[in-house]
Amino acid sequence: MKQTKIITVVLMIAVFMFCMTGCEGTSGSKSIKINSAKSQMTLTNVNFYDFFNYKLVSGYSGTSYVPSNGLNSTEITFVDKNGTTRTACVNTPLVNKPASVKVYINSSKTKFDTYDCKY
Amino acid sequence: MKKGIRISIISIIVIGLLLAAIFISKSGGSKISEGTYYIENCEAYPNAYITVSNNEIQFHNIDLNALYRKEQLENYNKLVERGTIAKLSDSVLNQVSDLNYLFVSNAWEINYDEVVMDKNGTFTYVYFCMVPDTYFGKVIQYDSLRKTIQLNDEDVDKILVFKE
Repeated sequence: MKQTKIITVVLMIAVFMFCMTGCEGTSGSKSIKINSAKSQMTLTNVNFYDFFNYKLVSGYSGTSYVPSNGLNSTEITFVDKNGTTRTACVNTPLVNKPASVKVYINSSKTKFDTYDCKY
Repeated sequence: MKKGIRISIISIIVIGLLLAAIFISKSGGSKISEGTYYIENCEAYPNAYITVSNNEIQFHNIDLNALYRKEQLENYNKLVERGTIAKLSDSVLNQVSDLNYLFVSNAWEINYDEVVMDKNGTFTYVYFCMVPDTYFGKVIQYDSLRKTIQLNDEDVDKILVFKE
């Protein structure tokens, strides 16, 4: 009985802390979410070669601003939350609303990861 | 005695939860609270400040062009060279890249329903104040708990923090 109460209190604290710190990004899922009306792209655990800064970016998560030309192209140039301009290359423009997209992870575009897309 | 300890612990937890709830409710959520925010970390512009009124944000006593315009134009030129974006006319380029015109001479209106926003932590919100369909503008980070507005930049030495 005493143990049950302790566990209940601990669980309550855990749930509260979980709510306080936010629950995004903890599932380990990988996806790309596009809101073309807002020029918004949200990446979750995405690996991509940054063709603007010439380096591989791993496990990137966050919402970014993408002008419409970025979504119309296979070369998506976006501004991230730090104000950094980045470019990711994909196999098909996201404006076509593909169910999934290949994101290139090397400069020669021979390697890629595939991600589900949400709109 | 044991019962007393147990009641004390539960009371502390309950009070803690209540205090946290009050903290959250007082933090004001994602909307930047109205007021004046003063610079904390810029020797070049020690009198700089931000005023927030309704949905408008305006910078004062600071030259944003001197701080950020050069790097934004460099990025623009790089994107034009790569063929990512079309070249703008000189007059349009001068207008959209003029950060002082956008944020200092005039107030920038944040339309909370339409602005690109990212939640960057429990109390931190990021707003993309960008000229539509261009790469010009600034990314603003608001901490509703500490009541700070941060002007984000890829160069960490150029990140400015303003506190209410």
